[in-house]
Amino acid sequence: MRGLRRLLVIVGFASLLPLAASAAPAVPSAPTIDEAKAAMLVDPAIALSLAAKVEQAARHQPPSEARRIAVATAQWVRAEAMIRLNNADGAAPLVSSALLAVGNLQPPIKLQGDLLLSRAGISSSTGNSPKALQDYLAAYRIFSRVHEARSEAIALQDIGSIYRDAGNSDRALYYYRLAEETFPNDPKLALSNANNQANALYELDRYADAEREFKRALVLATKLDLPRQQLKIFNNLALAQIGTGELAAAEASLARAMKLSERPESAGYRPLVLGTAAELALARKQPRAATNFAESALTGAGPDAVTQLYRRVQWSAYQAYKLEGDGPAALRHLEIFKRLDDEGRALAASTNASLMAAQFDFANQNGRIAMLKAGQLQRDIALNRLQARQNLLILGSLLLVVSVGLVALAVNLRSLRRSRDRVRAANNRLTVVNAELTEALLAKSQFLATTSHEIRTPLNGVLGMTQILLADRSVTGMVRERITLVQGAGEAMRALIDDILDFAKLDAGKLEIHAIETDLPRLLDEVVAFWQGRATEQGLVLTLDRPDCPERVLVDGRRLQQILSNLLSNAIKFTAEGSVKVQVGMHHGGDGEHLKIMVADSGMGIPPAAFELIFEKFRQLDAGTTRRFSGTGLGLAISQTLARAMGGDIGVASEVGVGSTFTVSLPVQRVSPVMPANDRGNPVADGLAGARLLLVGANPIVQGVLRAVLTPCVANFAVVPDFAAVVDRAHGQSVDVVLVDATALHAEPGGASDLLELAAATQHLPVRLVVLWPNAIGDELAPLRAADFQVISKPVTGSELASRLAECFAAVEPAVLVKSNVVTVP
Amino acid sequence: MQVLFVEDDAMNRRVVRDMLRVGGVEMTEAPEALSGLQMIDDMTFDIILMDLRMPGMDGLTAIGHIRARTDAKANLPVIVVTADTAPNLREECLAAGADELLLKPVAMQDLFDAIGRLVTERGGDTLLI
Repeated sequence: MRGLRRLLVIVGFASLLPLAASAAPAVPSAPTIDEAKAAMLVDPAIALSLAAKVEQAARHQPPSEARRIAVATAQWVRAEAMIRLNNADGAAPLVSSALLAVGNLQPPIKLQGDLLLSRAGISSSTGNSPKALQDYLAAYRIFSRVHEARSEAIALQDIGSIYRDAGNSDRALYYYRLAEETFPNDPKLALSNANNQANALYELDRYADAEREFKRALVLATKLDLPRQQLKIFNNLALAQIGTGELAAAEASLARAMKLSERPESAGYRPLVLGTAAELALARKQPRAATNFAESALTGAGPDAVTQLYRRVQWSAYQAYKLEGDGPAALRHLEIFKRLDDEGRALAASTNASLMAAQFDFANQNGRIAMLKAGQLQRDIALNRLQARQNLLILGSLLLVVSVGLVALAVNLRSLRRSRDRVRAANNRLTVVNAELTEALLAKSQFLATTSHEIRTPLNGVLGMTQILLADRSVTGMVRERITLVQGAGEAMRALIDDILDFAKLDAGKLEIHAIETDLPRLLDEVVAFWQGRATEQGLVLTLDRPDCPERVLVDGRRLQQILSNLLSNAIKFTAEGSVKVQVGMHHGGDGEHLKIMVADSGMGIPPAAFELIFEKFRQLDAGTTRRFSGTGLGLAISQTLARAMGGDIGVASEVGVGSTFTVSLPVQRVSPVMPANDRGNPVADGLAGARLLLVGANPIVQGVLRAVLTPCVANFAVVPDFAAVVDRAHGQSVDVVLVDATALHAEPGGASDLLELAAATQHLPVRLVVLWPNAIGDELAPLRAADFQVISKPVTGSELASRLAECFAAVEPAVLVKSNVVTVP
Repeated sequence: MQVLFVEDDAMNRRVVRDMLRVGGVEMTEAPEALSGLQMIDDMTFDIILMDLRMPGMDGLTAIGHIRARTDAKANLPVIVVTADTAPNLREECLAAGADELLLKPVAMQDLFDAIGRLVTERGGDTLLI
């Protein structure tokens, strides 16, 4: 298996050769790097020393991008040479260094993909499959962008092999097939592809299909004159034929393999061939022969006999000894086999689990590939249909000319049939691709729906409980701080899931924009107020400047809030000191009015090369940024998509070290301000229409009820937690009527006397104090009434409460009220 | 105020129960739809909170049964509480007869506002504060 992957690497490397001249920049060392690459196929040690010299020479040049690329290329060649010389440890730092130098080049270059392939190969050989897969996927993406189909195919095959290692041969087969489709024209690639498919099919017990593919591989290996490959293929073919029961054919294949293994350079493979002979003997019910073959195989293997490579042979040995009746020997081999089998399964299982996430990501990618293919195929079909129609026309007109027509008839019939066949073939491919696309999208939607649902449920437990704990006012000090921290973390998780879900909906085109009449100044104030705390924590000055901001506009407020929040979050996150300024204005363009929101920060700035990059999904400036500043990198991508969906866009201007300004531009429609409709039509309640009402002391459910009852009647309904806040508002002249729910006060330390203090504190102010008191009868409330508290007895119906409040409001005079005879209850 | 919460997950029931206690309301619980419907028969409630995914009968079917009643209880306000984020879920629930949808994780104030609003609307002027 490893050998086949090596072959892939060699193929990949060889693919560079014809392009080497054009890919490498025109520097004095260019001839030598090609020599190094050419030497690789002959002797990696020579390639290593040549490449080292190239690197030396390249370093003498003045620093420039070209020099970086030249050095990185040389390092890559050195690393590849070391890998072939079994020195993965030496190769790894070279690859890292090269990636560091050229990893961020935009637009990407093929070298980046090649380096990622090398790194992935190293990861894979050290057993780190998820990391390898990640790098293979990244390499694939780069190869797609630079249109290197051959390298794409190599990356796809490598991905397939990762899945095979994880025991998922189905998926592996899928990628191998995709690789074949991507670049079918390279015989060496085709050979390793056929081999890979055959091995995957064998794992899936599809022996007949495996046999077919092994035979195809054999043809290629023979054509390419690769005896080592032929040996391995004959061996595996024999195994497949044992599987299909064609024992005679298996014997023939095995004989060829045996013959080939007699060559000195293939001697290392001989024990495995002997192992296959053991399996054939078992299939023939010849236990003695089987044990002989098995023992020869294991002896020849030496210390490798107890490694995964010889797992099958151990199993054959166990079975053979069991059939012979030699219990202890059978047991010995069974124990070794079991250990190897368990190890293999555990590794495959853990690899498989960590691969599932990458699988989702690739379904995403694949969906897009499939969509592109579908588009291409549809174009092909249209073209072929056109040709078919043209052929039909020609056919018709030629029939008129009988004698010459007979000849022409034959010719056109043939091309007509060919066009029809092509249409049919293209249609078939389209059906397959559409099915793949649907499957990919379905898998992705299901994955997202399940994940979102599964995470939200326990999050409900976390956030639910923190809210409940924080609602208890006896929780104070350090405990309150800690619970607040947990709440903050839970909120961050929720925001993350919402982001991911939004991203999925955006991707699936399921985004809905609901433009409704919105109080724009209030929305802007609220969003900025929300971020004020965080800004202050970081020592930043956050300001909002909105002169001439229209009162009401037609816009999707929620989405606008989302975009602004995201920009503010980024601005605060990436600014160490200084300020964040939000400026809002209207601009009149040729196509109507645009709302322009600018968020300017004095932060680290963004290099112009990265302007487009930051709006890509999952992107932050560089890997270092991602680690220092948490975040999925989705925010800007979502915000820009939202803005565009709303008919506008987001742009960026920036200077590194000075700051950045993000500008959101959205077309909006002004709406003339409308007085809130009062659907009660009650003349008494109308009396409350201009009132600003403040509720204090109510328990949350009563709050909810009163909010529902009174909001339609009043100009403004607000809730405050305590009397201090009431006094503040009263002094600020922003409230007309204060409603106190006395039921809640019984839990307060001060109780009724607090009410009197409140009355005293507000006596000179034009506010009306009203208290909802349960079963208010009798003289106990006289002091309150004397302090000019209006007392309304609970329970009361909604409309009665509204009319009583209206009476109170009507009684408020703008002039300062002078109260007399304030009685203070001790 | 009398509230019924139909939900199969014990943790979720506990969270909402404690939330409603903060609001001064004691709620009744049903671990699945059938017993919930039975409780609606036997007892009086002002508002129902309903989960969607439950073993046996699911939430929307249960709401359908409530709305199919021939007595005044058919008009009980129902709030769906769910972690499901399928597109158009809100429309589906409203079409099935729910009055409001709250998405987990639930914000306590949203829950109270929704309860307050629905109870007021349905209770009309007979509601006593």
